[in-house]
Amino acid sequence: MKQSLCWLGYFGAYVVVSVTVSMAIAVADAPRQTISDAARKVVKIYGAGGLRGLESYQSGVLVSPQGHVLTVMSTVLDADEIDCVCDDGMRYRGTLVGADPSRQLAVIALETADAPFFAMAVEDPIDVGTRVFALSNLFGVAVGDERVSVQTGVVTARVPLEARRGAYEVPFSGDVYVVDCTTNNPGSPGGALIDWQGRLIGMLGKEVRANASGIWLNYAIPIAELARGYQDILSGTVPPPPARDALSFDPRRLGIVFVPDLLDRTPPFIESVVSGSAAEQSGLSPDDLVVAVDGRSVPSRDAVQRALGMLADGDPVRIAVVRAGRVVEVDLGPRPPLRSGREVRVPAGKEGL
Amino acid sequence: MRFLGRFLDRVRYTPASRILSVAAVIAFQWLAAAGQTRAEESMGLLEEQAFRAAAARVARSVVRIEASSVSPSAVGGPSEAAPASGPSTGLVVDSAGWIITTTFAIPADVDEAIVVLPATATGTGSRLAARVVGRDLSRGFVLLKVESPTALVALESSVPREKLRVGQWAIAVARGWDITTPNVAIGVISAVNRAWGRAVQTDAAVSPANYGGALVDIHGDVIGMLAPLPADTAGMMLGTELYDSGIGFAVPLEDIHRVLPRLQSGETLDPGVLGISYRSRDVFTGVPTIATSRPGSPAAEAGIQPGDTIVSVADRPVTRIAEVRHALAPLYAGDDVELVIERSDEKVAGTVQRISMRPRLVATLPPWQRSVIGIVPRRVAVQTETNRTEGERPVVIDWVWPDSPAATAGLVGGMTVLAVTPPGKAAERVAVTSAAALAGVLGGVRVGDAVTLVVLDAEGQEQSHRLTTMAMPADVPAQTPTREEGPDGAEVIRLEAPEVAMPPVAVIPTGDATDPVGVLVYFTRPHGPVDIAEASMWRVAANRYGVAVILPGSIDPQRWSRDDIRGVARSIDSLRVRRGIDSSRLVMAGSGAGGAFAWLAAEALGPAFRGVALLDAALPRQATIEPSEPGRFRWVLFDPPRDNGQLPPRVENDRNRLIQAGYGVGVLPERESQMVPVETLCSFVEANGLL
Amino acid sequence: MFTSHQIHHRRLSPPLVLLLMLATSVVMAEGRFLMADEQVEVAVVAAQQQRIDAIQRGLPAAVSIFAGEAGGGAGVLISADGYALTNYHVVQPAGVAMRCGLPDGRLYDAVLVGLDPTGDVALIKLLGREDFPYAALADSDLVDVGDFCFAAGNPFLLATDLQPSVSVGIVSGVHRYQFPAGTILEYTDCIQVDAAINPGNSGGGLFNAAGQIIGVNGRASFEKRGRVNVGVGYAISANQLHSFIGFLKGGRLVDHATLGATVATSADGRVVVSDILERSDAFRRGLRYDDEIVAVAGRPVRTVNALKNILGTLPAGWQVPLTYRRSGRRVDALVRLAGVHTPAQLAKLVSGKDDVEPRPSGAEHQTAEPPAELPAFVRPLYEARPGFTNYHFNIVERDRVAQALAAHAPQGATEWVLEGRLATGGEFRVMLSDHEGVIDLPTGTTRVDATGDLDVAPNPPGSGGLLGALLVWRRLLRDGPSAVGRTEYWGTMPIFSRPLQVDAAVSTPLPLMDVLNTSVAAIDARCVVDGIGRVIAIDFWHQPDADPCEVRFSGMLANAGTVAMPAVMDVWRGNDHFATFEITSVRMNEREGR
Repeated sequence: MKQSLCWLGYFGAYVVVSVTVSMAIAVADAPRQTISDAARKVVKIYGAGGLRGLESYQSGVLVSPQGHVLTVMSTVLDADEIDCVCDDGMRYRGTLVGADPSRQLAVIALETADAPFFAMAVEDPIDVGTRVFALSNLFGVAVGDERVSVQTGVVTARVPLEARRGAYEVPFSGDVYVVDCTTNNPGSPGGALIDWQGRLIGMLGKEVRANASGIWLNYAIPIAELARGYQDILSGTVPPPPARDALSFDPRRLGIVFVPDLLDRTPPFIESVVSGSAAEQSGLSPDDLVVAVDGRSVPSRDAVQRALGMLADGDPVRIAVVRAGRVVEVDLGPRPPLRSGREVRVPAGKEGL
Repeated sequence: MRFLGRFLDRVRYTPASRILSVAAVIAFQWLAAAGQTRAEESMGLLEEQAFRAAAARVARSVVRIEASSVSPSAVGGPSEAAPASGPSTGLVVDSAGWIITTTFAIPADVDEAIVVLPATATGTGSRLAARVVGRDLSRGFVLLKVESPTALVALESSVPREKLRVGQWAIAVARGWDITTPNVAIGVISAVNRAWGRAVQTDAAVSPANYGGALVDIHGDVIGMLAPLPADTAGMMLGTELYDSGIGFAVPLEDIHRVLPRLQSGETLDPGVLGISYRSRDVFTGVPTIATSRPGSPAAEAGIQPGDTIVSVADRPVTRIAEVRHALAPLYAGDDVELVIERSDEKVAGTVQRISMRPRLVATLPPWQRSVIGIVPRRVAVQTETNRTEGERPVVIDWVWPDSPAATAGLVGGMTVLAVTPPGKAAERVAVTSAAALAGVLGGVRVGDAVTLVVLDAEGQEQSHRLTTMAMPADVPAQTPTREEGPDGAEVIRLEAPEVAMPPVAVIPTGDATDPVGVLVYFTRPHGPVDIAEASMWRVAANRYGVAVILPGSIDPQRWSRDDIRGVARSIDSLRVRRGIDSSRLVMAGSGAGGAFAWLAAEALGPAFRGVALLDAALPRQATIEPSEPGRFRWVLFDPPRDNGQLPPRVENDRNRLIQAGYGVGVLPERESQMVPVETLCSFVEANGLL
Repeated sequence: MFTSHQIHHRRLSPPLVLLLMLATSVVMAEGRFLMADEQVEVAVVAAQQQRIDAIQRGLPAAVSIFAGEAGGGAGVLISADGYALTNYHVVQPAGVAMRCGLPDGRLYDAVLVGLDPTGDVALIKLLGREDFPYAALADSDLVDVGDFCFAAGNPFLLATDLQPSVSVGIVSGVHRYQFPAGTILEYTDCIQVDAAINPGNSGGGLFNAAGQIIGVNGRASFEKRGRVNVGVGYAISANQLHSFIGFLKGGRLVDHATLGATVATSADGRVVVSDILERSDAFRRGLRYDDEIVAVAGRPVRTVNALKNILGTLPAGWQVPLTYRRSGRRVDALVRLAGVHTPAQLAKLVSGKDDVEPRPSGAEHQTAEPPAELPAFVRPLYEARPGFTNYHFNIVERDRVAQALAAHAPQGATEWVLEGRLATGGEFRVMLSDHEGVIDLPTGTTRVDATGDLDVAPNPPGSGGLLGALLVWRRLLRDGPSAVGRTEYWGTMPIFSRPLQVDAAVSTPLPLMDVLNTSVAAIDARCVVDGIGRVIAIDFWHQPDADPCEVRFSGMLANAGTVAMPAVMDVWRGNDHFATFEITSVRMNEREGR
């Protein structure tokens, strides 16, 4: 009995202790632990470059215990010597294992055995509104054993990437996470996007502008793409990069002739319709303004060609036009296959500076 | 159960129990800690749930807006400051098909759009054509009407502004990114009374993708509609410059509802204009004492006079210009506003009378042309307007403009101007306490109308002169008076100032240190840092005319940039700290690329730089010319190469545009030499003191 | 499961209790997830209210600074009598006078007090109230990455209604280093945040979840967006500010510290001395080329940035612990830090003029009229003087300390006699009068003429000028600051006890004490005054750039009546201990007995 009492005593003591502990920690209203754990798995990468707007540094994330670093493919990696500095300040000479141009990913190997790393276990998609932390060496402010920078925000949207860097379309056109914190900073590309449980859910993308509005985009490549990209690179089965104009379909093949492309972002007004074409049968007529292809907004001629290109061969082509102030939806039947070789060349848009 | 019991009996007195107890202790602490870290996460995750719930509450009323025709203003594509609209967002404010969005999504030259309703279970959202019914140009939103087969879901509850607390959650809900899920951005309320009382401020990410979207609180109650309102205090007139900067604005829904009926009836609501300008240039701290009430403006009609001080607007007492603007800006053209002004009684010194009036605000004012009488007051320097007296100084005539009304009337240097009487108001003498005061009165006088000027002559005799005002002259007189000169020319220094990447070279007169200087900023073609030697040609003229000449360097050796303008502003500040500056004699000048840039610099630095001289240059192509008004007037000199006396067409065109807008425009006589006309430019600085 | 009944009838077994404990802890861990929607809202709204309250605590102290045509920025009030911190680059264009708005909707006149161009800090004083709302400085060394923070400022001068703009976020990084522009505007050991910091936030406060000041926002990375926030702002840490406020209140033009040595990272990643000035104090304390810097001011040095970060947060003139290693041997020393600039250089940086040369100490000063005309309200509160931002406030601080001293200083007595034993054995006797100072030691008697400039001889030999120090001490206590030479308020300083304990923990923020500086001809004497107005230390320079005589008083003499007299007087010079004096009696004679 005596013994039981003493045990009870212990028990009571523990409860008291643990409760006070709870209080103590609860005061610190910040997931310091989650962040510092994640920061150990983010590396600072130094390589080629150095010009304004073309920095010589970026970020990457450790994704395997044998020191594989996943990062975005960029000019920084076009260097004979790629240096990676880990959270503890250790500096490694990295070797480029391989790259996935279509996903804009690359893998670097470090000579380390017991590196902390992110498991790529989270299943896509992450819900819009998920709270996130973005960890990266933005502006290269962290050097040596200094910790990478952390920003906080939420996933604003999951949308197909329609962006350009300078005058060049970003080849990757799959879905990305748009976030509401500013991650389009020098050094951020390759950084980690984690949720509040500290799980890797994406990788910070490049400094690019949205095609539609020209604003700087804050986006991350989803974890699923990362996982696939990583596997493909390791197994050497990287899909070839899509030709810049591959995903563009000439509307003339449906019988649609647009007004000439006089200015940037010419609105897709139909100038004429080829007689006997699918367009004519569907009832399209001159002066119709095409506003959507398969439910996707198309503010310009380029957008129409891209939207048509995104359809699979044989998909039904549904087009919405504005005619006399009303929106009319028409169906042009199955889309013909993309021609081998080049379709019409999509003029690269001007950068808005 | 029994098995467990037996098991327990067996282990009870074994050492295992010790081990177990240790294990338990560790496990216990670990779990407690785990519970804790989770606790932190969980508050984050609870908030995450709450955000989603809040967004879901308004999601059905948040629609996507797409352009259904392209605005000519969008030609040329987006720029850093002015992104293209792209797909944007709108809000259903009435289930009968009434939708609001921003003037950013629907520019003035566009009257239709596509509305995409939220996606339903059946797939992508349906597109509807929408037409513009009404516009609110004060708060920057547009009312659209769609004909929908089914009733739409309108926004319900809105949060009254007085219930808002700085720091409470503010969730931006939009569909600019995609139609299937509402796009969210999270922030807090930063301030409740911004954009001169027309908006709430949030630090949530606000950009073209969610302009027109809803800002809601943690319960999903609507705070307002996100809109890119101008930050005019920072010279950002578009509002879009601030996208994703942590500074976003939302127009309170209650304010929108208030004007909905008028918009539904097809009205366009303009901001209300009163037609006054103030003596103080400091809108934040300046006292709202009237400099000018524009001829034919509501202010003039209501009887507001130069020298009056506004003490109350709409029954709210005011002491600062900013407070007046806060009270006026939310009002529309056609609104009446209760004003109380104080006027010091000229006859009984030291007594003031309070007059209340009720002018009706208008949308636009009749065009304005500057009128002068031809006197140039002595220079004065006021460090900043932190000086309580608002820079009050007796106006002593320094010199008189050749063949001006003042000259014909026999006014001469040394006389002190005591008072002025506006035309047709013989009874109302306005005391001239400063050059700004006199300028203000003249600003309210039409060219050709007569004023009566009371001056004190050298013998201390009071004289009264009737002067018929003349239009602003075009050209600089051949000779303007020179100053007492210091020995061996002006000093040349590099003007260091914090945050100035490329410090300019400054030529500073060595004459009488108490004599305030005028300032001439001269931009050459951009070529990186300036060499001290480049200043030598200015030293004599600068000293003779008492003009501090600032020669900026360009950060980018190829071109001039906005950062260079900021550098110039900084440098002038640091000059002001060490030498008195007469703020009526400031000139921006330049040649070639520097000339065009001088105009941009003057525009960027506001009305203070009244004089602009463009040598071998025309206005930059992107130059927009606002119609001149009191407090916003420029005097522009051109000096282009001539083709036997003829101006180049572009300069000719600029000249006409400027004259149209009511600016003073002159052309320098042709010169043989390629030398910079330093003398002429320096006397142009002095000439800018003309009243 | 186990019911109370079972527990009762069988003897409670330890493992059973253990299981019970585990069960409880599991519940504790999971408990928070079992919440219904309305509970969610309750919890979230409660957390929201906490944050709103924290912001409400900090907000009333937020200052909007308007500098007329020079634009403006923000500031934050740190005392009820109106002292507010802001950035140097905010007030520099404004000059001496500015107007400030507070969230109470009122405008207040403000005057410039002190400038720290190197650290981009300025101290101003709002006028017209003694009960200004203000915020407390937190210990910024407790700030960690991920912590909640909020900024209150005047971005883009939007505060037309004098209400600041509040932006919230988390701490993105700590101990950041941001390079200077030339030699000024250097951000060392600063706090990086993702709360929106835009132009005009400059000078405003960065607050923690309790509404206390953890920093002053002053800088942000902008790059391609021009002047628009991209989620990367930097704040000067509260602990750095804490170390400089004393100097700023003294109306000084403050300088930052340097070791007098340059360092580099060696191949094996150690921070080693790559060059060192022979006239630096560090050199005199024995620091040499290739020595490894281990710690400064109690903070470990692992990278060059770390050393920059530590030095950048310290004022010039402080004496702090330095730990270095040479061939495995560890050395601890107290080293006196030099300034980054000469006073002339600083003055030039601030005024843009070359011709501002501080007069040599002791020379009669003239007050130069500021160039542009000053608004009436500041004229009584401003005095220009080379080497100072606003000398008026130096007098204010000097007199404040002098008053504290007067409280328990001996009045009247013309002759002071201190007697006692040396710790090393033997008697001593010190006599101090208006005419001379005399000290009898076992080694002999030496004297110093008190009528002259005190710099004739640093007696007793080897002390570096103990008698001079004591004579200054006596005059200061008896006749006040204006009695001898020129006495100014120097600033504040921590005192590190000697001999230096190895690895002595240096508390943060450092406990600081007022310092008065007295100059007579070539000599300088700094008297450190504790919180209750006792002189606890004197550093006496018999000549510049030499090791001073360091006198450290401790204890209270019992039989000294109301007068505060130390019981022990410890005297050092450089690394050498001169003597420890155990004072047994102090006599105050009305008339000099001779």
